[in-house]
Amino acid sequence: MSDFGASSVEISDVTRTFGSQRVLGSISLSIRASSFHCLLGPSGCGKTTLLRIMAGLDTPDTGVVTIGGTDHSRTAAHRRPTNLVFQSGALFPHLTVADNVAFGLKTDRRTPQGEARSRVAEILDLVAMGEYADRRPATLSGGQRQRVAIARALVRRPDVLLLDEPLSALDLALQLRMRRELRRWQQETGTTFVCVTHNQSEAMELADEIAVMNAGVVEQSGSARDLYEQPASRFVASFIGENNIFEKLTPMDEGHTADGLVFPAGRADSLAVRPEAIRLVPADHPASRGPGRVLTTSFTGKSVRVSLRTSTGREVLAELAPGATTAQAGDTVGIDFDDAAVRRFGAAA
Amino acid sequence: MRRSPALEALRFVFLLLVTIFVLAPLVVVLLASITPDEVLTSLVPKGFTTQWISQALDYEPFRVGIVYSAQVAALATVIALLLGTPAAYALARTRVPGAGLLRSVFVAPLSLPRVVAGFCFFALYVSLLPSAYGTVGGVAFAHVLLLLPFVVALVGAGLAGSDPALEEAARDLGASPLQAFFKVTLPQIRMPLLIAGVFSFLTSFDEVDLSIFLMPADTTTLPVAIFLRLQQDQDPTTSAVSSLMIVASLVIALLTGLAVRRAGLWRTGRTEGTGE
Repeated sequence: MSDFGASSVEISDVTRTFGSQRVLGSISLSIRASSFHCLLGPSGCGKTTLLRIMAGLDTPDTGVVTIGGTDHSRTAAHRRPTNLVFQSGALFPHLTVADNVAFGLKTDRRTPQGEARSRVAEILDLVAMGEYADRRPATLSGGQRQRVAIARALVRRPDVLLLDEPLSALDLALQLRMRRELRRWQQETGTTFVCVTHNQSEAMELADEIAVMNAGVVEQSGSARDLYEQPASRFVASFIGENNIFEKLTPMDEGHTADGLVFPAGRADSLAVRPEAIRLVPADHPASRGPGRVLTTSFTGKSVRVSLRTSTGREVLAELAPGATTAQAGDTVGIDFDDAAVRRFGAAA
Repeated sequence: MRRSPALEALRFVFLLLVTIFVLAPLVVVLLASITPDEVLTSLVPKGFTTQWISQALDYEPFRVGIVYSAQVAALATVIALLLGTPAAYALARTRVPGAGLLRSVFVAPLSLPRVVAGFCFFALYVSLLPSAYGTVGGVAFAHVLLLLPFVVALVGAGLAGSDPALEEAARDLGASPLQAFFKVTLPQIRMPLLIAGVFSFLTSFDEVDLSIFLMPADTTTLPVAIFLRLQQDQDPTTSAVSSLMIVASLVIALLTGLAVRRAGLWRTGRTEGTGE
């Protein structure tokens, strides 16, 4: 598996407008060679358009796409060192699995037939589809079809493999299994993988680096840990993992109140506190930042999740170690968290 | 829900009548062409003869007509497919300005009376293209006008039913736009193409109204030859040649049906499952 390619991708100031709708508003993004990079965002955020621009299936209005140091902004799709795995798989229904995979080797005519055959066999083995080589796509399950689609793109040994929501059509158990496999295939081939997804847990599990997109811009790009611990915007804070977000801050002598809780001083439009940073203390405890009435508690195995309502009616989620609380629904407790656990967005940024 | 026996009987009678209505003329012609009598007097054949069929095949205008019709139909079909397929493709897959208008233009010949169309072509050929009058090319060209709406509609429906992502996938895998069309798009629409081709061939082969304006009486397509002969003579020779056309059409329709069913195999049985 040593002949697989890997290139970095550099996207500078790419914009794209469909009619009067601005889909991408000046995107700049660096993707390291041999990394697994996810473009994560809600539907309609422009992530698929950005992926299609990298593939050459769509053309940016302005901006430059550099792959492996070469400007490919105006290169036609069939001449790019990239291959795309379509959301639907887009397998050719009239060809067998082996012919589907061989398709991209026949088009460039540079691969001798014998070598093409062995490469098809090798890649089908990698995705565990070797025994289905003579089947038609219509006879395969959704997961099998997606494996073939990935093999068909990988067999060309692209410098960059682009994946458009490759797992979204599969059921959850299969998704979880294929995440690990995708990760393994990326590591075994060393190819740069760029994967579009709207599923944050998928992105966190797969990616070395995640670019969080919203409304046509990249809000933040970084490792899953960076995004989780240091979200750069309110959107990232709410999109990556669970978060309690507080708005409508009222300044006090020392600090702010928001939704009936006291926060440390500092300029901000909104504040976020992760559920796992929240502690429950007795209601009259001096550390309490405000009272909360317990709405529900549930045990998930690793934690106890407690849903609380503050004095202003705002719902707050706390995730505690099992045994860390004996609070029952209906109890009133004090809500506490460290100053350092509070993330600020807006005015202070 | 249970149907009453009376309703069942009514349904049976109705279907029987429709079947008789459709098949009766065909049966009469088939019987007339193998019965020794000059004029068919009974639905029970009084013998069997191939006399009329061999007479029909010996009759010079019919022999010329079969070849002439086949040439016209083949040429018209090829031209209609070559023009209609790219037109349907452009309408289905690209953003052509005025696509709606173009669609109407392609369907317009359907609403033009064929006799009028025939006269228009006659006027065109006589005034500007005298050399096209009475030639295979001239007649075929006129037929293309009739066939294009069917080709554009059938191929267009085929394209609408095939996934545009397949073509993008082909290009992504290194196929030029032309390669992508021939290797991926064309195989998706081969059934609509086959059906459009067969339909075009049969329509052109059978055409009288328009063709009759475009050829001299001594060298005509088969249907026109039948029409002209019937004006002079009503013997079973005409029935015989008609029978040949009926049988040939049925055979072609049957073969097409079989081809469509076979090709359907890799489409049906599609599992839309998401698990493994």
